[in-house]
Amino acid sequence: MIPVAFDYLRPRTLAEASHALVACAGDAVILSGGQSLMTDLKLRRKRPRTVIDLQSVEGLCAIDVGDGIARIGAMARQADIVQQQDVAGQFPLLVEIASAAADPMVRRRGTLVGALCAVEPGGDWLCGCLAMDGIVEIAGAVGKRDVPLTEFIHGARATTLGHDEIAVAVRLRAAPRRARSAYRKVKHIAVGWSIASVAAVLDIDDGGRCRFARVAVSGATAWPQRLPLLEAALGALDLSRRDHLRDAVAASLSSVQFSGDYYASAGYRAERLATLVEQTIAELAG
Amino acid sequence: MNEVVGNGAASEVSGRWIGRAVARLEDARLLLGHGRYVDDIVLKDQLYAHFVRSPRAHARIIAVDTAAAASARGVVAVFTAADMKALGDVKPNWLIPGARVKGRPVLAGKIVRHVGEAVAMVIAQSAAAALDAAELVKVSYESLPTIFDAVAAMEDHAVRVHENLPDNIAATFQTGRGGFEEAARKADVSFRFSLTNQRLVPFSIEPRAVNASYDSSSGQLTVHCANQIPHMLRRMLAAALQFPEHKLRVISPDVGGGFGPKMHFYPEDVLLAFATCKLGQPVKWTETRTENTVATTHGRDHAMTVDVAANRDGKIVAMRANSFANVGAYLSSMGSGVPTVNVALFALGVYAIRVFEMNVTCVFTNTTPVDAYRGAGRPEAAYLIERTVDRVARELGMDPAEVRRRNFVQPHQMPYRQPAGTTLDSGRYDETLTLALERADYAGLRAMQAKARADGRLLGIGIASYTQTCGVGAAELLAMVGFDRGGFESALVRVHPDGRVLIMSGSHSHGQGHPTTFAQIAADELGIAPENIEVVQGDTDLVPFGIGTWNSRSVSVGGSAVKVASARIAERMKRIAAHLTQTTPDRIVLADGLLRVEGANASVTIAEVARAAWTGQGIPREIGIGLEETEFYHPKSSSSPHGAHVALVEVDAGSGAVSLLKYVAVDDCGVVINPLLARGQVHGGLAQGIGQALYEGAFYDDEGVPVADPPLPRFDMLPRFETDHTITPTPTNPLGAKGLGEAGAIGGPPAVVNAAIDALWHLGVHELDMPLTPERVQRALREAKQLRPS
Repeated sequence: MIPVAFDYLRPRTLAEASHALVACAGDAVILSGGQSLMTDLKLRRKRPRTVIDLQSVEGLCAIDVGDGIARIGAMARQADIVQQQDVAGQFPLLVEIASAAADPMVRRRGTLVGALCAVEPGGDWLCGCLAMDGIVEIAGAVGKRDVPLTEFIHGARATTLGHDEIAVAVRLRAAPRRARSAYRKVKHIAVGWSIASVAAVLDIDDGGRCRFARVAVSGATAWPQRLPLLEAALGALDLSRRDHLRDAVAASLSSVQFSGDYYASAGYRAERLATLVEQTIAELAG
Repeated sequence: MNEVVGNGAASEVSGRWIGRAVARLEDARLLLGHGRYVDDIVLKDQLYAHFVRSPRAHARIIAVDTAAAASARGVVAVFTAADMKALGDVKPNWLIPGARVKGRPVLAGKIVRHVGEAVAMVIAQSAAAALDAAELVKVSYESLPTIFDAVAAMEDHAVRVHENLPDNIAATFQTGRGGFEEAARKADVSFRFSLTNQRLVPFSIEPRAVNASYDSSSGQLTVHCANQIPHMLRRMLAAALQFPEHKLRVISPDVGGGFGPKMHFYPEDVLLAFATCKLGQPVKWTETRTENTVATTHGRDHAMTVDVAANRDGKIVAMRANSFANVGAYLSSMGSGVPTVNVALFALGVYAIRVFEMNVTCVFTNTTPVDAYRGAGRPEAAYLIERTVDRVARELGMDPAEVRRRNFVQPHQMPYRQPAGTTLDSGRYDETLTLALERADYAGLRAMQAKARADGRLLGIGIASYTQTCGVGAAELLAMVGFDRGGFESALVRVHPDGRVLIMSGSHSHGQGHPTTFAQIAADELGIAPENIEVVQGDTDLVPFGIGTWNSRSVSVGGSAVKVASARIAERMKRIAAHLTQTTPDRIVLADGLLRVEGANASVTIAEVARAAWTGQGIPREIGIGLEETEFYHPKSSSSPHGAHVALVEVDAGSGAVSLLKYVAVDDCGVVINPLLARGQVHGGLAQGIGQALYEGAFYDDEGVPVADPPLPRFDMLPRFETDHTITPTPTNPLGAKGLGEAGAIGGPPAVVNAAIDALWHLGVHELDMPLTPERVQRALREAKQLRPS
């Protein structure tokens, strides 16, 4: 449990951090909350020459909640985010996820943006932020860019971040006032990640029709992702017909890649996920 | 004082202190961070060891290149098998007759036989330098074919783990008197089924740790080791190193959990002692979790087949069992005894079954050696018999509680010798089961189950009535089964002139609470409050020879030693007090720190008596000096604690998830010394037993690597436990106390699995193997559905 020796930098500004990244030419990692990184370092799964700690960079802890949009800085801790009154009002999914993700000690240190960058296959926060149309603000040596989470994710534990780039914030979109949302999770008994989880935001009109849906899944799939096929199909469905819903869920998952382990195989997870998605949507529509 | 409410034992206070729920005297120190574990000990000129371990399960070692590591910064030495020629393999110390001795090599030389086997040892000035340099050791391997499963390893032409053996058999064991076939022919029904007792990977909060230091001035070798049996470790080390035993000191300080694996003798123990003698500086090693999963011994791992014959009235007339026990790549300390003697002798549980035969074959495979782990063979035995009794009940359409009652050994039959070879000393099984069923509201649960089933929910109720022989025991019996250990325990009790007491015990607490329970036992004899009694353990230079803590033996054997020695001191104190008060010893009453003359006003304090004893002043010369007694308590036989556990589960038919809704444990460990600590032991054992039933396993991958982060039961994965005791004192020791530490790990698995099968039997699920993962249960439900006539 001793990492390979590394240089430790604690820049004060984003510019300093960027310069350091460029100087390291790819042989550096960014440390925010450390929930995934510290384990990787201690088990020597990652052996960077330099660790750049963001904790002293000014302005990264901000949590700004406007009308319908929340902007959460790279160093904002998960526990702090959900304790903000206006967050709970507009972003109930975040509060729900906080009670399902890890434990109080992890949430006290863990950052939301860090959890997005880690792209853990069973990640809770990433699943929820996908359903909130998350957009990642990225600062690089040559400037800034905004990338939707759906494009930011590049597979399990991989993002589109360049070697000189830092994810500085995420912007989340609140659901319309009348929409309903839920996060449901089946826990991996050993590690606490999900083996199947779904975050759903549904806007159901008075006639019981779905006006729009944002559905994201994690745990069973090789990495967290939206289910665009299902979202598109829901608008045309009679949600009181459980069999139709079941077919739509099955169709949307048919092209998705699943992964498993000794505790729950890919096939088992796929099935649990299908049931969970169906139940969650039926519950929100009901 | 923390009196436990609702625990039947609390009301049965037999002495002034025995039976009281005294809060642990050692907790303040431990909770404030003043504990001192091996890794906390840093000696002058401390060096650190790191092991290079095999990533392959079976391979020929072509070459080990240590040059780069040896010249790395901070490195003092790199050792390989070539440096260890003087050291033999690590010897097991329980070898059943006919066992083939293949001990663990201290370092693998030509062939590695399991993932995690140590190939080289790097010693450096810091732990980081040792680890960095270990990565520079280049080992070239040539892979050999592997075999992980015991049943597969018994097939013709199976891969051989040891090329100079004709097959993979490590040992075989038979017990019983035969006659199954004939009995089965006469019985109303007979059937066969199979059981798997999966391999478990033990995890203590504190991993293994060793800090060895040789002092060239005194010629003394001191080995700090997180260990359950310090005196045995000293003996084994002295023999392995050919080091004079009287100059070898083993100190096992605070230890964070033992559970069996910390009593075994390991290659690392020898290697660190060897290295410090060679280098003249202290060398320390603390196991990582990753090493824990591959280098520390595993537990269980049996594949069993059971034949059973019964009559329609529920009476079981005969049982036959066969087991292939996976012992791993080498025989660890108790590797041939635990899966054989400890399983087969206890396979009849609490029942009077006349015809019995059992065969156990211990099989080598390319896996980490298997050895004793909480329960050590008795969980396997209890699982075997309790699954069998339940199966008989279901096949006959009878209530499982009733079938148990019809087969119990009755109190008037005690002591009862079973054809398996064990003798039960005491037990009121019907009474214990009745109390457990009452506490669980069995009739209510059955009604709830019927109603739930009508509503489409699957509830199941499981029962386990277990017994387990504890306290090893008589030396004659140990000799008979090839177990090279004593069965006694020591206690040196000394009353100081200030009236305070020091107890040096050969037993060893690694979390159980000896400093409290042993003080309670002595307090009743000496009339001195427990807080004035200090218990010292774990240092071979201080403590008389002892056999340590395992087999739930501490209270029954170690506690008896404390009681006997303390009672002798009490007699001495009375003689002295009689002289000081000019009366006769039989008129002296000892209590509350005073020796009073019965019916008179005269009294002396214990401190006054102790001062007289340690000065010799004011007492006749023939009384002699001192207030100190040493007892090596050697029991003539072991005791048989027992219990009845009831579990309620709900199975989700869709997902296969099993939820444990209720758990009632009624354990009979004879006289309860401290009901609070007893409850702690039951809870901890249950966590491990339920862990085996629902969650845990080694989960090897195709390369023979166990899973790195196995599911261990945590607080939120367990229900509230309801515990109680019946109290049947054992006649085998002066305390009347039996063991309890392993009870939950023994009763838990069959109670939970029987409950799951109870929920699913009507759907055609008749067999389930542990752990009951949702996927496995779901698969069993689907397979049963396919077979069911629609």
